Amino acid sequence: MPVNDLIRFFRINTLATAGTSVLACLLVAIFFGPFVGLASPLELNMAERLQPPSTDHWFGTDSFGRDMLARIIHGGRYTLAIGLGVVVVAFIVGVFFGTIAGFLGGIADMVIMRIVDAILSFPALVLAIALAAAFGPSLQNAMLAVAITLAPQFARLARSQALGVSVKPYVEAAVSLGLPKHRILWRHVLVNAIGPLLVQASLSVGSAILQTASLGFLGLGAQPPLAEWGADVSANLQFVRSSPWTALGPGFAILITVLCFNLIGDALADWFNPRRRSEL
Amino acid sequence: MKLRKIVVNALVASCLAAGAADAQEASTLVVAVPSDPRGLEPGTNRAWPIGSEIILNVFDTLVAWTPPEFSELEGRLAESWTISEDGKTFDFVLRDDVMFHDGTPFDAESVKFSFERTMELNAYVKATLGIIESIDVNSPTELTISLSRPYPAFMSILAQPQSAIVSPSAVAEHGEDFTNNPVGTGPFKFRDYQADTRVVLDANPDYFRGAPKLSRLIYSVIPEASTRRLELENGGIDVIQQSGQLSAVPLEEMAAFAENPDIQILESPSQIIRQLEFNNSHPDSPFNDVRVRRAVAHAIDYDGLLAGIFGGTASRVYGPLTSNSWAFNPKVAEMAPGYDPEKARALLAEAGANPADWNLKLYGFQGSLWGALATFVHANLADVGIGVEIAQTEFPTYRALHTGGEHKIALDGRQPWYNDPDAHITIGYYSGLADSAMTFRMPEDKELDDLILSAQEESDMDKRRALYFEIQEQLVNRVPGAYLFSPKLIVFARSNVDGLVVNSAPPLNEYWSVTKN
Repeated sequence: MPVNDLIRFFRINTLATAGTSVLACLLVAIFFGPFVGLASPLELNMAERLQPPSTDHWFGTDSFGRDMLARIIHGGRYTLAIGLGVVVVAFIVGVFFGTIAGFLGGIADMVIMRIVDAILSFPALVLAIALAAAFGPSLQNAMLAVAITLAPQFARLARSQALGVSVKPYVEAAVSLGLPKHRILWRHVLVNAIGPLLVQASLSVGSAILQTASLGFLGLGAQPPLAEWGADVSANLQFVRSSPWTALGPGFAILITVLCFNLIGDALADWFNPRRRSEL
Repeated sequence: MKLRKIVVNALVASCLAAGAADAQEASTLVVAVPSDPRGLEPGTNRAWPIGSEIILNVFDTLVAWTPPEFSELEGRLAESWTISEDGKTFDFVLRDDVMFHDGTPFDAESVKFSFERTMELNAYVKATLGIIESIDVNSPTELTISLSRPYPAFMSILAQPQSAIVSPSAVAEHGEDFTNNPVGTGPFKFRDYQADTRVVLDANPDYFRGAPKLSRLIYSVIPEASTRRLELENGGIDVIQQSGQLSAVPLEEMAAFAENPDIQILESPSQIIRQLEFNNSHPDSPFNDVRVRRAVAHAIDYDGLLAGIFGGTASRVYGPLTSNSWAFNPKVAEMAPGYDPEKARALLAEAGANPADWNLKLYGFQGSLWGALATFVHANLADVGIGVEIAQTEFPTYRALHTGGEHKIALDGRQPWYNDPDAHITIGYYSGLADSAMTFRMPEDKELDDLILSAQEESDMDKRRALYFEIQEQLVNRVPGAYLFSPKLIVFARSNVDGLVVNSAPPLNEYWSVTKN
């Protein structure tokens, strides 16, 4: 996307601009926060447990006296890495198989799409819980489980895009010129089918974060004492009535991050939709 | 005119009904429990806490621990008993005035029937009721039980829910379905059970110790702690029990209820022990060096743990027995390693240990209590240079790991079900039982093993206590683990509930004596 397009994109999408700015601030905080004298997210300080927000502890402290701001900022690294990591894996796997299915058709299409149907027939979170429980509780396994549940969406979308693009004259031209199949697949089909897939990807980051946080909440994701937003909400929920900041901090962090990704995703969807785009 | 009469009648009737409802409500007690009872009869009971408690209220055992101290046994269905010199033969004289809820009389035959049935159905009692060699009915009120070997804790076993006496005629009538139609001799009769919802018990007016003061007892299953709390505050339930000791710390409730005049907090020390446990027979573990084990025991901030995480809902444990056990040796309180990180580091250096290469996983159960405990222990160990990765594991996996001996270090605990040191010592530390679930996996050690077995079989109580004193000292010297804490049993009740005594081993309460004013 040329720079001019990018500027235009942000100019006409105020919400996406807001989302991107908030995310940018979050990224800055997450990557530079630890260097500007932030408290340790892991060190216990039982004398200061469950302190309400104050100038010393902006977001209060949890039941171990750990600074919630430090935990949220450190936890952000994991949460963003989780969101992006899961989507990258799901995207690569899903798009690879989906495009092959759509372009080749026949038996490959049959096999791949039946597997996709099978995975999609389970509610995503239930499947993720079952997989995470089977792999054993750890952050990597939780991410893998969520990636497996997200991949079929990309496969379906990639297949339908590939089906549409495959009958375009330029693809027929490429076929009649005798180009090898893999070249047509990647250079002609995928490149022209990528738009909606990117939209799906940016929308999926939010649900990937939510699902991994849910697994963390259920004790199937990050293990203590790691600062991870979902796990922190879960661990602090028992104190929510007397010390609400302990669970609300990481909860709001999840809310805002997911919202930002969804705003960007929505704007991208409008951008790639030719009809809507003409209205903008 | 006619219409008016109907209206008046209806009004009068509704007033009467309301009055009756009030009276009934006053003597109906609702107990909130976190999960389904999972079975309501002794034959298949596997120590699930809620089902077990219901069993003790619907059925009777031959003997029971006397409240409020729970240090002596009293006769229930047994009027008296004698134990032979060699500790293998038990003669019982039974009450002759007791009827089952179905109207059939209780007698020696029904005791024999119940024990034999439980032994046949229940693999869980193999190590306990399983040592019964023969049961002889001498007359309808006289019974002799012979054991294959001396076992002084046998009387404690008879106070357990698995040893409760069932009605043979009801078993014949219901067969497999007896668990949904339990019939015993207890203070409450079974009325209704809805899975995952509730169990309703009615008073047994003919109970041999006198009719209970409540007319109805309802166990209501409410899994969510905050829902239970709201219900208790609103008076929708009367008692919350077994809320804290297993998976969560009831600190929030404690704080909220302390200032509420409508709610009383009943506390009782338990015999539950939670520990940081080494696999003492791992072929290749840094903890095979006693100095390293001792270093770990010195690294834990025991008082900080009690104050910070438990806020007074747990007590200190020094060795393999809790301080409220009759066999507790006060000397181990001085011998036990205390919090001393300097000493821990020195011991590690002396042992030439290099914790960076250990790659340790600290296994533990799931749930907020265990998560908090793991977090605390993780920080304590990190402080002396020992890094561990926490792995909170589902129970079946954790159990398999433990029985297979794959772990090096784990958070674990034991909740004894009978009031005898045997429940902690033999199961936890006898090397012959190392592979059974959740033990310290002690290596073979003839001296210690012999001591444990002779203490288990000794029938002279003073000699027995002396043996357990010696065992405790030996165990504390071996540092098989770091003893972390013993949770208190905590029951929250509306302040109009009277007469509830919290039992510690087993942690099951009887509602016969309870009133609601």
